[in-house]
Amino acid sequence: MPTTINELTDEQTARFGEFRDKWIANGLSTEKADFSLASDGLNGCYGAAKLASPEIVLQFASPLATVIGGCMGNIAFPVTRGLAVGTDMTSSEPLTTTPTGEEEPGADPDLSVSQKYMEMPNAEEYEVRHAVLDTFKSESDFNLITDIWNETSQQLRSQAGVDGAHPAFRRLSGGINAEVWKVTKDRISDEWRQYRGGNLWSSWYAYVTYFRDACNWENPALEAFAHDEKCALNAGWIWYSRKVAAISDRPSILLRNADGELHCEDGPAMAWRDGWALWRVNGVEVDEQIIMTPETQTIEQMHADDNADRQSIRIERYGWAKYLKDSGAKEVDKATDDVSGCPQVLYRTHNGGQRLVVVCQTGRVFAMGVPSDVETCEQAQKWLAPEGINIIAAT
Amino acid sequence: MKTIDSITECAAQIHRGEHSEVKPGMSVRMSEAAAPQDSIRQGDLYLTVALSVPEGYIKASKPNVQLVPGNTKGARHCLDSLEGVTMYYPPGFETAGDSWDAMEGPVLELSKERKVLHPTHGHVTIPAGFTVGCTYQREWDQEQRRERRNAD
Repeated sequence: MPTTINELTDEQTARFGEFRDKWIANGLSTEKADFSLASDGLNGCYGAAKLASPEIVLQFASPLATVIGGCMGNIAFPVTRGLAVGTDMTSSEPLTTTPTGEEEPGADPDLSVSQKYMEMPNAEEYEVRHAVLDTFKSESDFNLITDIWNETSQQLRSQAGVDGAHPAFRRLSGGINAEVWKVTKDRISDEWRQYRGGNLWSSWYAYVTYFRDACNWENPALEAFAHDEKCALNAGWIWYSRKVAAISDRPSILLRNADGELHCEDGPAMAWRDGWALWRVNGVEVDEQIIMTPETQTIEQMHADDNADRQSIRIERYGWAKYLKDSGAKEVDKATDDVSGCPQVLYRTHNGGQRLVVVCQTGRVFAMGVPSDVETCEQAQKWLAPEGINIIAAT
Repeated sequence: MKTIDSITECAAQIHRGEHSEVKPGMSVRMSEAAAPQDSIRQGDLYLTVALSVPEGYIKASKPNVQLVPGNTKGARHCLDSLEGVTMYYPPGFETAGDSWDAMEGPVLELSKERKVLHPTHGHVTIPAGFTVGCTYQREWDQEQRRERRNAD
């Protein structure tokens, strides 16, 4: 019988930290996934949904490869299954065949395994989800897609026991062409959501396990939940379909700033073992060029960026002094710093923003933003400093 | 020569140690004659003489030598010691930790002379007997970013 909890005891409240710390560590883990334990959990989830275990369980290094490879595997599965049981697959067999399979008695055909539980993604998972969606909605890197297909076809062949020399499989594994990718992409647009976030959904598991383990909450759903929990403790994303499932490794890099936002200024903020990566500065989405080779940005690139946060990061990393010079920014006022005797200049940029460019006592140039109604260097300095102070020295 | 070029040249001179007035890492001492509101700027930290601890400030339960929140090199404005220092924090400062984003920082009552150290800027020596408030330079980009986030 389900139990209802109306209030927490002091002892129960005192255990918040235990669950918080355990699941934060799980969510931020960069250890390699335990695919074997995750597969056990995955099969348990199918059982809980009254579905037969998937015939193929693919393993990938990243969430991106997992959803794309999972969908590809799902499309190609009937072909490989036909080959495995000796069916003569003609050359006209399309890769777009919808997988068919017998359902277990009592299965709900409208309910996918991934929809069995409430979704409650972590902040990092939100970033991953959008990056996956953006990647395959954009003109994807075809080499990346080919790599994923090669990995998928190899695993399909191995798990389905297909004779790799069979002409139909050779055709299938001979590489993915643009036409096939177009169809696959359409399918992915529909099917990619059939995933669960694994360790990146740790906040949700912290919530449920706390009530289960610290408060002795009872509910019939907890039996099914335990299988899903096993997945979350041992792997990253898991993509579900009737006959084919795919499990992702955890990330190999996950870096955040003090506010918990994804952040790294000299590499990816989040990366997986197949090279897929998210680039972020204080949670703002950037790209590899902005981080690794910011000097190669063009003024047009910087001006065309419609994300104000990212535009600011772009210019910061390009170098404000260089940007103001290269972009032909307008000089509004110039003066000499009272304390250091160094020159300073107020610039107006292409979009009406203003920068006071000064020389720091350490020999660096800083371009500090000031409001657009500031008209002189002196006003800019006043805006930057605490009100009413009298600067007598600087270092 | 464009002004921006004169600025980068000035910076290069300082960096090479050839500037007549400014030397990188040059230490500064607060004069014993300093009056309230007199301030020494150490990078983006202002150390300003105060008459007293402002109302509402709370005596730090766990005073920290680091005066600027954050884990970056630039945030490492640190006292050489807590000896002879009574530290007060604005409300919420201690719990906010590194995510503190107001301009006001700790206020120090010094019964002994102390130095504020920094990895790239020069040290600032503050004589005993002063009450000194720490304030941070305003950051337009940060304020704009916060406004954009609030508007989302």
